[in-house]
Amino acid sequence: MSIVRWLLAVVVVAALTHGALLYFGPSYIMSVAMGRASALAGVNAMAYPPRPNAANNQIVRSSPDLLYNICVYDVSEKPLLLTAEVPPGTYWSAAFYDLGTNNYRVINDRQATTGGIRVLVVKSGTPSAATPAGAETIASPTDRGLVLIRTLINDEANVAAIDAARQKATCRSL
Amino acid sequence: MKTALKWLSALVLGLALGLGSLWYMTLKAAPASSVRNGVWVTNLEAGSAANDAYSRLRIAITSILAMSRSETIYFEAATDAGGERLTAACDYTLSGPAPDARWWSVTAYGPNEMLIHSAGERYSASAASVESAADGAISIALTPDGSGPNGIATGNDGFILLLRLYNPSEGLAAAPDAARLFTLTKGSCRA
Repeated sequence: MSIVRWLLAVVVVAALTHGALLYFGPSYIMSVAMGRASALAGVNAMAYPPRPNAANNQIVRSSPDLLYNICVYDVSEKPLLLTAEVPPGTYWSAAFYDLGTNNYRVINDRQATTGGIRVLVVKSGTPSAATPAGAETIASPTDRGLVLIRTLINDEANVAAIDAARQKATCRSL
Repeated sequence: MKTALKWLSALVLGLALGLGSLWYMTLKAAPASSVRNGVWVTNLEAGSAANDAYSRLRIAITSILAMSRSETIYFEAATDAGGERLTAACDYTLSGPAPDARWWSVTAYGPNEMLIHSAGERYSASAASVESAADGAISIALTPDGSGPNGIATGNDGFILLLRLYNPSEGLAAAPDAARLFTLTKGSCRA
């Protein structure tokens, strides 16, 4: 084994390691996050995790001032219909993330002027002819992704009402 | 046997070089994607659709599931004004007027980036929870058990602070380095 072949092997292994982690790293990290989230309710189903505290905290840097909804989705076969009610008088947002961790869309309470949202998430390139009445179609850049709904607890006295609105959020395959 | 060891050493060295170069390119040699404002640091790329592979990986590592800057700005403080890591062995105070945003909160996280246990669940202080002075000034105590005005518990180890600004003003979103944020003052320390 010559030193040249040995050095060549080192360079090839280094380049492959660097390139593979660079290319697949973000989707792997997102897949791990989605795997943890889907353990709550599965895929294409809405999860209603409890308010974060030190005892139940499973996701780093969760906010104890928010109630979350999480929908891990896979629209490779069928589109996803997501509905949610926006509680009045507080900050609320639905953030859409693709498998590459990109936050490709956010709808907040100021934009959801009808008091709620009804969104059809489709595979990128899919015609939107089948969009249900009153729904907005959003194309997901990747087949798999995650929707994270944040509702701010702006007053401890309103927790029950905010949670009741949160519990009405749904996501399911059509 | 000797040949196998040489190939094995090439594999190990190659893996180390690949990992090391990726760490350097992603987290060390990055363009100025973060800005500092006092003790606070924010990542301008958080929540954005990155244009290059290194930025995408950096976002996945440092700010996964963050939202775009117009929606929420996240400022992190891990050190005091002197550059020393924040520790529950010392008390601190955050003070200043409320940040220019629709809503804000400050939360402390332990070394594992999880919420810090405290008897009164004193995880955070927010626009909804703090009591401010007549002139609008806000003072937030950072103590091991969260005692003190508007107190947040810091536990018994190192910690970081995360300041969340929801729907920040346009001026703040455009120039987060110039925004008026809470100042951190170090108090007494225990041995």
